[in-house]
Amino acid sequence: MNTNVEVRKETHPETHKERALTPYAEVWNSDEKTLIVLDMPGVDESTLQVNFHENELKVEAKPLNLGITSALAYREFQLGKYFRKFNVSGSYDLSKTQANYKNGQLLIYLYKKQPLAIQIPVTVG
Amino acid sequence: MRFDLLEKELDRFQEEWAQSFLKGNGYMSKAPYPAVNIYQSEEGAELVALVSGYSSEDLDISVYENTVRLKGNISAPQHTEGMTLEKREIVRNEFTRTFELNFRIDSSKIEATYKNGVLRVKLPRMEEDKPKKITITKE
Repeated sequence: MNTNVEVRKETHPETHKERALTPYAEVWNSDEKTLIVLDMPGVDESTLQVNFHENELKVEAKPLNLGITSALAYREFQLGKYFRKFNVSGSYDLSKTQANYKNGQLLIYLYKKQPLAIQIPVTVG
Repeated sequence: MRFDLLEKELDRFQEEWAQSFLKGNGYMSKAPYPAVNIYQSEEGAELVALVSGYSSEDLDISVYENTVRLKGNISAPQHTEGMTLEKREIVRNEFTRTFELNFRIDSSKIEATYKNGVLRVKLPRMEEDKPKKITITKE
């Protein structure tokens, strides 16, 4: 079965004037499903949104408020809003799509439509 | 307050991070070890690390005098069993990061919490290393 997830990087989406971070992704495949893993540490899980519309999978989330009042002495990161789109082609049963956020990673499972297998009775004569 | 990072990779990491984020392309860092921020106050410091993909069991924190070391181990992810990796942007390795603070850490009062891929380690100063307020007497 031909299925494909095109990993698109959209840094400044037109619909989002607010600056957004693009989370890194992994795409895994098997005969039954496709798994998209997104690295999204520090997300406020109540703001997580995963939408699928016309072959476009859109993920967005806002960061946790860490509530730190101490002075920043050393910095390697800055939390922010996450946003990313994926183009998904192929036959997926969207009603089975699942998303789970765990340990700072969003796991999106897309289940493939299984080919219809029926036995055709053959009449003779 | 000054923090001396013992790892030699710091300069390279900072350069990569600066290019990837500060200069405006909006991507998270792709460095092979977790990004860390350190916050400070008179009471001590707080180390905050982005460790998505690691569970709390994968992480190890140790402290000696004024040095804190964060180690991460990889346990095989169960959610990808029987699947083939098609596209990869996430780098996840075993790592060790060591930071030297300019005060001794009270190891009996360290608190570490983990939520949503963010590890927070509170590192209180030893009482005798806290700034002392000196009362000035009038002559």
